[in-house]
Amino acid sequence: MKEMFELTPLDIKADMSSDELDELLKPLVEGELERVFFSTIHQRKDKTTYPVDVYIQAIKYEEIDAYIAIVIDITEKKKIENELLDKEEIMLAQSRHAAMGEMISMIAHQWRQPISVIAMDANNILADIELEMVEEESLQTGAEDIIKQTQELSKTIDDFRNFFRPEKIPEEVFLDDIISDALGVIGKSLQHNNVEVILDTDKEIKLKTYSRELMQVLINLIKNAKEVLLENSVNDGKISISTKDDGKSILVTICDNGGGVKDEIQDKIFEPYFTTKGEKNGTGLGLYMSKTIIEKHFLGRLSVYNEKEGACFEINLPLNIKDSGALDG
Amino acid sequence: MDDIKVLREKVKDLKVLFVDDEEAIREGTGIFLNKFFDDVTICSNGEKALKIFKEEGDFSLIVSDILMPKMDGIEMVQEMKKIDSDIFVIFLTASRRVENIDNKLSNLTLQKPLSFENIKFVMQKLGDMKW
Repeated sequence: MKEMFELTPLDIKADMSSDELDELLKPLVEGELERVFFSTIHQRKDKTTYPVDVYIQAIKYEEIDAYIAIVIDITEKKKIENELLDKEEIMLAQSRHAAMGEMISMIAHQWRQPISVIAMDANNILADIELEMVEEESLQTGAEDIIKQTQELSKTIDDFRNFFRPEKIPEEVFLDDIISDALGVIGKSLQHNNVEVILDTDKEIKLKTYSRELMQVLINLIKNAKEVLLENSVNDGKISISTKDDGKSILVTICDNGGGVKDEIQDKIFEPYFTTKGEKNGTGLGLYMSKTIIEKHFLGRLSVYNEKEGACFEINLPLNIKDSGALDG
Repeated sequence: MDDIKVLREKVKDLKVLFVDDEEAIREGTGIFLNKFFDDVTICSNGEKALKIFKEEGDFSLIVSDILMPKMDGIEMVQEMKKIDSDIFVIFLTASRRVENIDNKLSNLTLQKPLSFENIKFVMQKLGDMKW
């Protein structure tokens, strides 16, 4: 105890200079504020450190001006915060992977034919050589066809790069283009499963936003709708996408005719790890992550409601992400 | 293995029926088959191919895709064999796991597209079985 009374506040701070501490206490000392708060790192006698929140309040103690300091060890709080951040990062990555998964299926599908055709062109040339039937004209046709096929292969790679490019700053885009991009990735899969896409969009809507992330959320929601239609074996499956600018915000609505979401679980579907699909198909992350991205990165809202034939997911976005002071990255 | 031109001489008169639902494949493999066989008939689906098989008869070699809409390769060949059980059948599949397709219906199951290496082997087998 005696040792402790000989210490000053500066002694127990792990990494703070006298000037820095003075700066923090200045408003208190000069009477500008009655209370100051800051977070810092304290150290123990054995020199180990721990994070703390410090509150210092100016008081009068028996007519004497004094300060009372409350120091809270926030080691646990920091640990939980970091765990949450890690978990969120993992889930963000998983959600991105799901959208990429759709893209990769599309690539596999798109590449199959050009690869086959290139192989056939090459086989034909080899056959001509062995059979001693080589003709300049057919060599030329074969070579030109191979080039044409490689251009198809390149285009697919360019699309992929474009769809998943990193984005540091929001960019101004037409909402319609983002929807086209999303359909570019998942459209074939919808066609393949006989799901009709109905578009009712305002082509004038422009917004300053993280277009790649918004695209991934759209892919996620459309994929969700598709899976509901498949699971419930809906024969004339329809997914309708509509957009509206109501002056204050932009609304993007994705509806399906898959029967709707039961009232009891309407809140639950946005929870992490909740899924109505079997072990194999549902990760239960899609809607949770979509909601997290819309709320945290776009400062918007994602909600669900039922209509006659099925469910509608509605994304509500502030008009300009910069105006709303949305977080970076 | 015999020289390729010798092999070709042995098999070129065999009548061939080639079936695939994809146009690009029909074109490429069609041109290819025509280098080795003088009489190649190309069809885009199983039903049409079966019809032609019945009407024209005389086909010795059937080369067909397995997965096709309406009538798949397996069903088509089953019907064809009822009419002529001597046909030599080659199934072409997009799948990489060729061994999994276990059926007594075909003489050979090969990966698409039909390659130059494959055709030499095919001609050798056909030549050995010469009618």
